[in-house]
Amino acid sequence: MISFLARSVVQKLVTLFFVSVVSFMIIHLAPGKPSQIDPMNPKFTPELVERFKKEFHLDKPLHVQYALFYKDLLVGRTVSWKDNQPVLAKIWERFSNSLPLFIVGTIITWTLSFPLGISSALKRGGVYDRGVTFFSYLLISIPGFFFAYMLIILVVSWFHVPVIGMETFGLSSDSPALSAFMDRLWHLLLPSVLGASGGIAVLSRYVRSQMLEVQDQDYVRTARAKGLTSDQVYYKHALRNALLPFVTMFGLILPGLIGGSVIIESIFSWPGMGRMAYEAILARDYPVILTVNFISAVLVLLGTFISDILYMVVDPRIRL
Amino acid sequence: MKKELNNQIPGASEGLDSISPKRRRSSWILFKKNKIALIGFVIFLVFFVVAVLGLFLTAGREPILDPSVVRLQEKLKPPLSSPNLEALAHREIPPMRIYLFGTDDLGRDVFARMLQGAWVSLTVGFVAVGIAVLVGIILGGLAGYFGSYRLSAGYILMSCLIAGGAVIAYWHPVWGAIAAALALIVLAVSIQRKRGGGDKAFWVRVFEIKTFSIDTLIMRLVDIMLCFPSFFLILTVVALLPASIYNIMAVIGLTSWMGTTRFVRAEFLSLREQDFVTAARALGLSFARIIFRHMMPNALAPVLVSTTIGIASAILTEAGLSFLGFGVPPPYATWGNILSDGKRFIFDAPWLTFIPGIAILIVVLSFNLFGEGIKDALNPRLKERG
Repeated sequence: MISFLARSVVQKLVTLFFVSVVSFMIIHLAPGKPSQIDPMNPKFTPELVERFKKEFHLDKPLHVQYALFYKDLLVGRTVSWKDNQPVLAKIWERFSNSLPLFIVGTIITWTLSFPLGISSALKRGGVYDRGVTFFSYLLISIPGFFFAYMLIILVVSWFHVPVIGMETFGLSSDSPALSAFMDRLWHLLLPSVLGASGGIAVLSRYVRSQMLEVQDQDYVRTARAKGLTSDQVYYKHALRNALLPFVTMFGLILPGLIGGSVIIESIFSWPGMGRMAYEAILARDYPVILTVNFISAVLVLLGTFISDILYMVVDPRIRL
Repeated sequence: MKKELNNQIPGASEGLDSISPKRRRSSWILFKKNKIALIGFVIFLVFFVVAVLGLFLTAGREPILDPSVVRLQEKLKPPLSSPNLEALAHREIPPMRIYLFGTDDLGRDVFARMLQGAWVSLTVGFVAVGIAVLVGIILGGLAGYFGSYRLSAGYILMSCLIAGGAVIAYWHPVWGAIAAALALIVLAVSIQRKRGGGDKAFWVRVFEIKTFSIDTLIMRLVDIMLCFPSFFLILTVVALLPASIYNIMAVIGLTSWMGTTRFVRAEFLSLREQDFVTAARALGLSFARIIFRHMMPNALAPVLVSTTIGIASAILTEAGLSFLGFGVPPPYATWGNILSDGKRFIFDAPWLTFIPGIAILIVVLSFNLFGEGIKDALNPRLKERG
């Protein structure tokens, strides 16, 4: 087991190295240079461009730039080209804005998709099951931005609450705590429901198929033959085994932490990770783009690693 | 274990060519039973026809329905309203004498723009997924078929030199030429090594060291690609490249082949062990023929499913990119940018949001349901259940 973990760590480090190389290449081989970003600006003189290039090592060969960039990143000294702010601090600030969205969205996803999936598996083939199936396909297929506008119209015209942004502009600090809290909650609700909608659809389908899979197993037949009540068969014998793969999914939701949806955050003017990445792309702020990319790659690899470990802990058959 | 056995028995016990038409027919019957999937298929066909019609009606110098005619006096007309004939010049009058889907903020006919956008969505979906499936089949097939074949160090050195040389030649042609020359030397040494027997120099033997297998190489590549947050990666590349529909197709295609690769590899790993492949090999067929003529038809089922679902998600991705302003450049209409332009008028002219939104929803939904229907129809285990 130790050797498996060690091998896995080494493999993931190698993958991470290649990811860093590939993302660096993609950014730097693309046509256009960050020093050309604003050619019309009279303050952007050639001397300034030269200084800019020197400052950010753009005059060095590519591999030197690569080494310098990731050295800076690992010691936490990378700065944004746009405003000279340290990148990690910027990301941290935006991350703490995205975090509530992520947490509420994940809670909504996990609390809704399990009951939906399980109940539609138990009523396989019925009207309810087909309804849930169709509904989940509807959720997968609806374009996020369109759904967002429909929900905005609905909430704004029915409940008359503002939903754009993180909180109502001008809501002073001396307003009662309850109303401030409700304001935050209303602003949080729509983006997190939207973020959860795709997840609900996918996860509930997965729960359903997993449950169907388990129902045909011999041990379920045995449990039924013993004369257990169907509740006991389903929720004790079948469900426990059906849930196995989902334990591992705790690891796989980790990358979602930094994923923050670009589209949803720009519709709702939510100052989160996705918006920051989008703005960085628009401004060709390479350090921010590369850092976001690097952190999310780390999270993906960490997530698969955690899910591997969880699988070994939960399922003794996997343990080597 | 039971799962694997179940999957293998139908394939193994079949003399493929004799039984597969029957199997195909039974799959078709099963597919027809699935009403929702059938509806999805019909919508898919309708969409296909509409998109092709749309291309003919809106393209060319003198299109029948011109999506780019600006009629500022007719802006934001609701759907099904008829044009004010007196206010329009002769060539501005819509040929149908009615704005079926209304007009937008520049007075352009939304119906014509939707038709134009249908073709964009269709081509983006098909070409992007075509690229992804092609890459996926080739890499997955190589990984599955040659899985255990280990590459020798010479090969790797040569391909690194060629790839690196190509990149370097971009700036310094001289260094690129040197890399190419080195690659040739390595090639020459490798060929010599194959021909000549007897004792070899130490540095020749270095080239023969067996390193990792093709399977490891391709699967690590898949892992690397999976580390990128996909929409963010697509957005970055599309934003850095000049705006064009072909770039979008290529970028979506080249960032979504990993699923297909995994499917094909898994299929090939189990197919490789079956008797008909051994028989084909015993007949002395070339590996290309074994892969493409004998194994590929048997591995296509999961690919087909992932293709239809892939088209759905490619259409969604394109719409999302257009919505963010990175899509197909204007004046070309796509469903995403009709919606994105219309969102400013969401309360005054809701049709500008709802028509493209619902169109995308219906098309993507039909592809998803169709894919799901194929999956159920081709799954032998569900068949047994009846």
